[in-house]
Amino acid sequence: MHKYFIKKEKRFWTNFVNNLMSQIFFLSAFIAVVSLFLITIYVFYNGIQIFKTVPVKDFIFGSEWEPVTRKLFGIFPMIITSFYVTIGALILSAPLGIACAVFLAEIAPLYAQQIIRPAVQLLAGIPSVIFGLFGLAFIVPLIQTFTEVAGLSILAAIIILSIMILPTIISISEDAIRAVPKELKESSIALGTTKWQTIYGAILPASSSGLMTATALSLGRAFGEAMAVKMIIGNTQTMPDFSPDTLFGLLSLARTLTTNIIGDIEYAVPGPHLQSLFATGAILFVFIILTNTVYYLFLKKAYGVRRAQ
Amino acid sequence: MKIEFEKGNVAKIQMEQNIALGTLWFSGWLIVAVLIFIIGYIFYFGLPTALSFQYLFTPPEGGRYDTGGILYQSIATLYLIFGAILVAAPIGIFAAIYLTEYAPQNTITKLIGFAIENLAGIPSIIYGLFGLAFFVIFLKFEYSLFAGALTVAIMVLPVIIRTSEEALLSVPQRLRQSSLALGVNKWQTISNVVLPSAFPGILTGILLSIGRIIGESAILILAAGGSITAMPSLLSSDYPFFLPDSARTLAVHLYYQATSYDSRGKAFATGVVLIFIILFLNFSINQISKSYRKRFVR
Repeated sequence: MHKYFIKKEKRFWTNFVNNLMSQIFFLSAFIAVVSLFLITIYVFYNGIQIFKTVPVKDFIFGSEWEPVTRKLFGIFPMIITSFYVTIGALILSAPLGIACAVFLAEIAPLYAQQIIRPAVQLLAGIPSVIFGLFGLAFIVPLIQTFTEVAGLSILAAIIILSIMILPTIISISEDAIRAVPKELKESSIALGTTKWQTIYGAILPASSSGLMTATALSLGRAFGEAMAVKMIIGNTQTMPDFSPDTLFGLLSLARTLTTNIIGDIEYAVPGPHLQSLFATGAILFVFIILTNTVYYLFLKKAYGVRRAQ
Repeated sequence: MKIEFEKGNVAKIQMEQNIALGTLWFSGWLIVAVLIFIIGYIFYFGLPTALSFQYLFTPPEGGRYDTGGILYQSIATLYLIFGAILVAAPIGIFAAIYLTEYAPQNTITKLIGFAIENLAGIPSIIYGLFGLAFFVIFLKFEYSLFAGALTVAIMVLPVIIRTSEEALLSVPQRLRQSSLALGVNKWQTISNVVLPSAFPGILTGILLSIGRIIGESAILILAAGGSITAMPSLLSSDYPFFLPDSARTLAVHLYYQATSYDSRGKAFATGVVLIFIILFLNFSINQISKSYRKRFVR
């Protein structure tokens, strides 16, 4: 234990330190606000510059991206691809993730929980470049053997992304399912229902807002993922071919908003090209803000659900 | 819901129940299978190279054909972790202290909470663009580990704040009250009583952030560049004085290796190194939180 002196000058000093520290704590917390402010300002300010030379309509709805040779900056194909890939990943991932969450929260015996939960945690920690490498070395050749195409494709990106967002869906859904009041489950079981009827008829509806939150959040993550997608989607700047020949675009090469930035940054020179990449980031940011807002709206309704990590 | 106790109906419900529960069991174990398959796949192709110490401890060589090792990349990764944690840990922990011990219920506190939530949701590519615009171009740090470390520090800030907050909140209120009852002021209570009790939880947050930093690649391509020509230096006499060199971390190196066909095989070895570090971090986090739980839950 420390010695606490009651001498006057000592007391002045301890009071001074006490006040100083409370100020430092406040400033540290406020850095979060400053950071968010600066990030928003810098990305949007640098992005808006492009609209001095390229009209907003041509940028967002233009379908050709030839920034160096023809000075064409149309990101419409990338917006479409981003949505396509994200929604595809959610369709694969959400049912599986929610099923896994139900299993963990309601059915799994202790030993299964002790294996599956760390596995989910580990899956969340694996770097995205490793998912990209796995996709490039395993998924892409696999697609290649079953079809006549290069293998680098939207389908590969969807498969890898759906694995990457599983941990988010599982952990938040599990929290939501565990937050369902015990009375609700017990009343359902007291009516003579089976376990599955209780899950289906009582637990899932009661936790639906939490499950929506999980989906919205993982949507944001899939939309913003850059590296893994860049490695396996081919990154061609044309509109994906949505004809039945390529399984409605699934086997088509494409480029998303995020991979546009990563792919072009290596040779973009300051000027319209670099500005257009910031503008791409700004558009991406707008979509992320929208999904975050949806998340906030659902979060207010869902009880006991907190953002994982 | 209508429940009829006819024999056929009961059998049908029973079958439905079996199928449904079977599917749930299957989906739970499928996750484990996917994880084991991915890690096994990377290890199968990468372990032989990664276990040769020559690969780990020789500098990169041969450019695109990648005949050397990953010495510089490992050092760059260590420097990046060091730089980013040095910035993010104090700020994050102090912010968490403010939010748990001081913050009044007002607009500013709400604003801070809002900012933290949103920072956690921003994808790393946006952080990368910010790092490029602000640290690299505006503050003239050039492509450097310093610019990368500062950007990454902002990225992990929400992780550290949230985990530290939870750790601080789990310190029983009576510990604070007993300390204050001794006539000690708030800062002395925090530094002598609250922080030591919350330390394991805070450490968990820092380890979690280290995991995120090691896996990060998009930010570093945009803010730290990808040079592997020389050993990155820690200090320099030129501006910026700390971590001034452009360098490639292991994750970024893996990206370049994997996307160039000539060095794809080496990418697996780098992947093995990354997975080993992540496994070790996860193991440590679980050990800490296990011993931690025993302390307060009685």
